[in-house]
Amino acid sequence: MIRRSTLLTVAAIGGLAIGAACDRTGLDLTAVPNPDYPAILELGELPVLTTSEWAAVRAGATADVEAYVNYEQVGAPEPGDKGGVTFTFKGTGDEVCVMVDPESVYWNQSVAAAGTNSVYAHPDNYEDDGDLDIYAGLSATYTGSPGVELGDFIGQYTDSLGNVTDIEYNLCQHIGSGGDSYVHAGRGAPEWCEIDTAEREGIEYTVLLRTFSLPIDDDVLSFGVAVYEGSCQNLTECTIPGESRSIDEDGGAREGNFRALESAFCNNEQGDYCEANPSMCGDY
Amino acid sequence: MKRSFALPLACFATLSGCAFEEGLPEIEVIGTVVVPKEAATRTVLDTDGNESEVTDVRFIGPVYLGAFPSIVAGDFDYTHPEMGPVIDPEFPGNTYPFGGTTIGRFDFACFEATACMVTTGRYDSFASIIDYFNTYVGTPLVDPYGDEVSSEKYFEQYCFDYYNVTSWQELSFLAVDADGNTDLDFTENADGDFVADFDMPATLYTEGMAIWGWIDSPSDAYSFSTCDTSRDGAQTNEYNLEFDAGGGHQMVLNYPSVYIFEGDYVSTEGYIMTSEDDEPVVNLDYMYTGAK
Repeated sequence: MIRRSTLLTVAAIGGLAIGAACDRTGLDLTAVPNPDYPAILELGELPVLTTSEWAAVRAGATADVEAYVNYEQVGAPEPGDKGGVTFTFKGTGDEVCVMVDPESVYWNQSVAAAGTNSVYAHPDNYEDDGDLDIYAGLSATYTGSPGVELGDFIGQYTDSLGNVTDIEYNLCQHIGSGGDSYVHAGRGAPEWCEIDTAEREGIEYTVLLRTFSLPIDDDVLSFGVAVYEGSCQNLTECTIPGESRSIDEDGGAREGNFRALESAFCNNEQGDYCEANPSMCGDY
Repeated sequence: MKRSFALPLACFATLSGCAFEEGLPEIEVIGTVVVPKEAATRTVLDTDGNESEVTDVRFIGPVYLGAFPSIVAGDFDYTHPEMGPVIDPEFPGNTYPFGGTTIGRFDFACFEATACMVTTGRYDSFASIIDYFNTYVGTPLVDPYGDEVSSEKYFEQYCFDYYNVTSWQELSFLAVDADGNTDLDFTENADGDFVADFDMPATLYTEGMAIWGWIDSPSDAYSFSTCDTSRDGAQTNEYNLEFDAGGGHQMVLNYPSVYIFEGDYVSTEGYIMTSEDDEPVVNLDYMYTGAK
């Protein structure tokens, strides 16, 4: 038989555990809506960049990048609501690549006790990273109201016996590093997909960038997005530079800047950069 | 707990378990298919070059069966399950089957030449496979050294080594039961046609649904449209062996028309189920003779 004193001890420990848990709401880990930054953003129609325009972006001249890449900012939705960005483009009759790069950069810290890779010796600051997931399809299959309410690309087919089957009309397949299809890139990492618009030249497509997470340092997610003709080739964090925008740089709490951090990352020098600017990395 | 209570309690639990009705919408459809004699008959040349008609169960390729909302005529030159919207211009609409099964599937019989050539439930011995290749395919089986495989014992020992097994029952391409007796899928009925039982598990039941299917009959070159020699099959990479062992395509029941070709036998009407207890009989009675 269990002694009464034992029961009382267990109850006391349980009560203590419950009481201790109550002092952490977890709200500090979620982004807060900001009236200056809408949670649902409609960008309208984006032009499909030509091969030469995209080549100019890849060349990296700041004026070209700023001219052809769309830099935007989206805020946090109210709890329980979906947030994100929509825009459209017109089919070219060929492959079209859609790429989005949410702020800022992300890397895994090298934690090996011996042989530490100095480039990755400092941790990434995860509080300045956000995540947008791409979905895309023919505008006719999008169920949302652009700028008002997010939808998806799932339709229903009802067969002759009345059975309803969901049909996935999303045409966007981001291929993972392991070759897996229908995956999404993680926090701070760029994401892209190819859409075959064969036989649909001039037909409107809708792209949905669903907010998966926002940076919790300022509750606003800055990102760069581009649509260009051709297939998605050799795209990296460094393809769209400088996606962190004003609110990030105006914070003032940290020294250094995101453009320099990203540049250091792209040149495998973030170890040195973090050494000199620890507040821009995860050490502060 | 006293032991005297344990036994009655266990019995009660067991008995009440038997009476429990889960209420799932899925059922197990158990039925029969009838394959006309013609589907198992071919004109072949003997060693002297003379033509003769031969009926042989080994000519019956895999049979694909599915449960569909309805069967319609007019979309193709044979009856076909109703389809959902065309999403990809290069594909027909998806049939969204409620369930499906096969009678026979592709299996790899150890030698490279058997990739996508051997259907389970059609051969009851190694000798039967050797004979099929010699008599009908016209290209004898060869081993990795380029030597013709004519000995059943050699074939057996090679397969035992290849699959690390020690009995025929462990090789699914041989239709042999636990007692060593022949256990082919199809048997000949009084009309000379061939019949086989099928079991379609976990099928979403809707009153009025149709059980429909077709036979992927071997082509003139004895190949099968539903088998993929390169993409989906198990790969073999051992010493001097490097090839794909072949395997069935995916989504065959979702897009039947992609895989039905001249010479395949299709069910004209299917079987319309009006009760969960129906035991459908599906006649694969129409030979598709090609696009008109």
